[in-house]
Amino acid sequence: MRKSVLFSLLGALLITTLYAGASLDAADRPFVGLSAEERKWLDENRDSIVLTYEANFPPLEFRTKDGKYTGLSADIVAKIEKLLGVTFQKNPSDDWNDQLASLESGDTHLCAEIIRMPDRERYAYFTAAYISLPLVIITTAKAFAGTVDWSDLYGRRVGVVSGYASEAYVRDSARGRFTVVPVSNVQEGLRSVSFGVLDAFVENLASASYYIEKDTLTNLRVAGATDYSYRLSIGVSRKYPLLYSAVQKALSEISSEDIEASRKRWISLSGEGMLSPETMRLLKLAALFVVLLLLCLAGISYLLKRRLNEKVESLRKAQQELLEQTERLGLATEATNSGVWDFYPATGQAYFSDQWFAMLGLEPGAVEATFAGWIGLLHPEDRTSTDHTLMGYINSGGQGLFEAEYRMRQADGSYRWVLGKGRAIAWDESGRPTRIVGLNLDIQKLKDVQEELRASEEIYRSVIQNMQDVYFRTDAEGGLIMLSPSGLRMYGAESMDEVLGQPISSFYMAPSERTALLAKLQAGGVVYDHEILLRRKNGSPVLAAITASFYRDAAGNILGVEGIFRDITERKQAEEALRQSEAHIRALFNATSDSAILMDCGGVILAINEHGAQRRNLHPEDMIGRCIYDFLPPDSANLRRSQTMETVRTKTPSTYEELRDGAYYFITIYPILDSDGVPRQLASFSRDITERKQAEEALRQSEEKFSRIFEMAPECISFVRLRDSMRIAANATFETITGYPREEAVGRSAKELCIWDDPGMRDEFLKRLQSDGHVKDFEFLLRRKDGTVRRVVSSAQLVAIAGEQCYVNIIHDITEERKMQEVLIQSEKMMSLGSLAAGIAHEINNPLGIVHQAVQHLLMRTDPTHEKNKKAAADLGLDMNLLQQYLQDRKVGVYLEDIQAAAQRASGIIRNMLNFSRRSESKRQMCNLPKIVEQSVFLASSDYDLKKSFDFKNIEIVLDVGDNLPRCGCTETEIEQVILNLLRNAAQAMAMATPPTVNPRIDIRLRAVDAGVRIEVADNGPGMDEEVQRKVLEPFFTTKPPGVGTGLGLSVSFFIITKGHGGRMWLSSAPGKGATFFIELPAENPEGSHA
Amino acid sequence: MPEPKQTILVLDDEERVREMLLDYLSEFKEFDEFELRGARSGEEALEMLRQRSAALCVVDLRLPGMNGTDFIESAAAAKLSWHFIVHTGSGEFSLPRALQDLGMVEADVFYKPVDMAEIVTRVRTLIKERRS
Repeated sequence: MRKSVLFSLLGALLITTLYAGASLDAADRPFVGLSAEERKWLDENRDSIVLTYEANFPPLEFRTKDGKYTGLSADIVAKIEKLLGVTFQKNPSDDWNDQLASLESGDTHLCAEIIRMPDRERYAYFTAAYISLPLVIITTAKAFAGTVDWSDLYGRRVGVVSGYASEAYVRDSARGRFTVVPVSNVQEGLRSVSFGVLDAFVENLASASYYIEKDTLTNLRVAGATDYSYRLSIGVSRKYPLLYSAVQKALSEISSEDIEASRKRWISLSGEGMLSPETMRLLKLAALFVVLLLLCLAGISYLLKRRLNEKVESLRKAQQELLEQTERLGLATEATNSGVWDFYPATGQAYFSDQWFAMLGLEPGAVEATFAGWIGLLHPEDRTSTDHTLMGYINSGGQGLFEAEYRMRQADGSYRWVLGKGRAIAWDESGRPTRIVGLNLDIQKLKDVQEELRASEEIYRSVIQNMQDVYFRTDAEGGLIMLSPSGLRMYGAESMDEVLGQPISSFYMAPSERTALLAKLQAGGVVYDHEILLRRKNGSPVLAAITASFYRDAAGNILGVEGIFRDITERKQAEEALRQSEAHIRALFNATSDSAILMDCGGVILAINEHGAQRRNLHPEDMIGRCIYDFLPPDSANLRRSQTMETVRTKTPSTYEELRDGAYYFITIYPILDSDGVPRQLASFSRDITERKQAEEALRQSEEKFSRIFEMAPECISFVRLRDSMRIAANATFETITGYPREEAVGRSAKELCIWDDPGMRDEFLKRLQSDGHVKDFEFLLRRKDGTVRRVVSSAQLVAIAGEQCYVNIIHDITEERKMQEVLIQSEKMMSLGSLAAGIAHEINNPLGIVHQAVQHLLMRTDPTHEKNKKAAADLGLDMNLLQQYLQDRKVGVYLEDIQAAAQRASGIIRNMLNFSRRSESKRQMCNLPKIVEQSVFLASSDYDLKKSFDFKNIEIVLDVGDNLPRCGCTETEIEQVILNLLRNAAQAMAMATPPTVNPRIDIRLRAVDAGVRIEVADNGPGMDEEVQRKVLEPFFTTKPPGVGTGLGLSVSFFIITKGHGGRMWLSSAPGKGATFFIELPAENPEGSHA
Repeated sequence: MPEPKQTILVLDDEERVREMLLDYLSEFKEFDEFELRGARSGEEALEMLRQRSAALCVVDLRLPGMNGTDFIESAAAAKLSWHFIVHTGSGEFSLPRALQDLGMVEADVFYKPVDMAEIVTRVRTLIKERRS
């Protein structure tokens, strides 16, 4: 059968069916009841009548996915459009208030579903309400039983859409009985109730049922009705009264059945699977069509089967290819994330592939498939340029490629870089492209990379521009091809032109240095911190350090040298200064013989000086890093540790001494605080104070020695301050010699505590001391505390003590010494006297002898009995008897005897004198004491002085020698001297007494006593009183007038008896009762000490 | 042949002492057999004794040149005199060992001024000893 016949039949069938169906619809014929003005206005404004509709208010009016105006009101509007013969511009609106505003302003001509309200009538005309939608109360199916009214909602939460007319009504109805909760839209309200957030929601039945069905909120029901209904009209802006009247007329033409049909179509609530009549009709039509179609097809298919089979293969092939290509395209675009676009410049229409949308994260159809839709997605900054590029392409005849980069807004609001690339494929007669096909390529990553690169490049550029060091690059021939601005400054040039291109060697002071550098580079490939001397433009040198390497191309060929150098003049200077400073500090550090250690709080050695290491026979390097405690014996380590801890704790230095390995050390540990005042490091200094200690010990010992000497010296040593004569120190002997205890003397003025018998002597002493600085052996009389006087000698020296001028005075008691000296002098005198006497005696003996002999001759030659005399007389005729008679008468014989006696006496005296004075030859021997006493008496009687002054002859001497006197060892002459002295004293005393003693008598008694002999010499002179008795044995004490006696006799005698002979001597006397002197000599062998 | 006369020598540097002593001795008959000679120094005395030895010498100790003790020793050693008597002006004289060894005793020592009669007595005794 013929194709055309086939298809015509098919077509006819289709049309018939549709027409049948359609004819069930209300007749749609143009309405003719319009007035002329109305018709005129409509004709004039046919294309510009704007109807703004709520984009989202189903089921009354809403916008479908593909931008169609749909809904119950839309149906009404469609009918009105048919009746009026116009088509409104459908403008969706999301905002009800905007919609109202544009209606008011006249931008919108009309709105399809709007409730007449007083304030709205101000700016709009309202048709008669074409539908009334009751306001119902929606609750969950289970929440309430039966019908619900306002009272049932007491205390509940009731939702209502904000801004809708319902809101005011509900609030009114509330009267405080329940809480009114506004929601933003119907959907939200319903959902809230379904989920239990709200107890009830009040809205119009139509919207509610729509959403309940759409969102399958199966747990909701219409629980109750209200008094209120939405009475929907068509609102027309007052600006267009003619439009209003036309619309009104058209509306009134619509039959109520039509409206009801629409209503049924859009509003159903039973929802339990029952289909609306409209739906049924459609289904019936569909079924009819299908049946008819199947019948036709069955008939035709048989006829076409054979034809089809033949064509299937070729078609399949073509299809396959097409599929493949489509697939490829799809895959390609998917793989490259590129969207395909097809643009018709003339109409502004476009096609965007799904991938086009997907690239931006949008759903297909999210924007209008128009030029506007695309432009709307562009980034505002790119719109102008892209539009310009596109227009330019179009206007220039669409030659070649259209290419533009632009950002497009993605679903999440961010922008993505896209490369739009296309080509015109159809042109109109004037050569303008009518169709451009192309791809949107996602170049975000590329752009990102470019941006990174740009940013990176920016950084490097900034670095080069701003770096203080100099970056340079040379080419393979050594010419400068790149230099950072810092290099220009260093060189002293104004512009890069001066330096670029110049051979790099021209910048060196000595081009040979460059050669050396190159050699180094060749060897190692890179040089680090190599020092070179460069030349400035003005010729002055710059010391620099250069780090450089070769740079190569991709093949590895050397393209030149690049690197960095810096002016190290300052660095060099700083290095030198540092080196010097370091050398100074090192010298200082190592100069001290102390051990200096820098350590951390744990004892780890950070630095140690030479001496510190040498002490342990190590080098500093051996010790750094190790713990100081490792080098110490345990006790030392512990001590050091505890001292260190103390330092750290108190943040002040601590010092201590220790004995270690036989040496004394004085150690100080200092804390080193950081900026927060916390001790982080410690410095310790250890000084070997062994010598000092030894010196201290030596000093202490020395001091002890001298202190002992001071204390124990047998001389009196005292220190007196010159300024105030304050005695500041005295030794123990001070008391012994002066009688004043130390406590009384020290701290008192020496002037006050005067030990000088004659203060004038003290002045003399001080004068000499001050003029000479010292005084030696200054003799004076010292008055002791008890008043006794001693002869002393003082040596003194000026000294400075604690800055004050003082003198040290050493006083030596020479009383005994003096006595000794006197004794010695006396004995010397006696000795010289003795030898003198011996000489005299010897000389005198001869003449005495002659006298004696002559007298003997005379006596013999006058003796008449002598033969020779007789003979001589006879010869002369002399009568011897007569001669003798004559001599007798004339007493010649007497006188001859006188001469003899005198001569005897003289020789006796001489003899005694010789005996007495021969001291040196006098030995200690057993003495005949009586004889000695006799000799003494004899001597005394021969004493010239005695004779002259004291008339010894008048004194009766009685010698009484006892029996059985033991033999005593004595020095004869000395005992004689003593007895003689006693006798002399007695004689003088008796003679000088007033009145002179009558019958002066001296008794000398010798008695034997225990172990010795006692000699008593007693006189009956005036005697002595107590005081004289006490002093009489003292040296220099005399009662005789000056010049008469030395005052030494008794003291020397006392000395001889006691010291010389080990005997005793004392006296007893009483005034008027004479004096008796007692001498006891021990009966010893002669080998006693000789004084 | 008759023996030459023996000598009694008086040695003293004081002329009067010497002469008076010799004069006194000459007054006694018993000394007639002796030649009484005087010398003033030890040297002179020794010279004389060498010519003719003495029976006895009276010797002063304090002499110019050689002192009396040395003279006695020398003379005794040379056997120039049998006996010696010391006649001294010194106050005290004790016989030294050498003289004691010659046989001299305390009694042979006389002190000036001497009693010449005592010396004569001693001389007499010594000569008698010599004889017997």
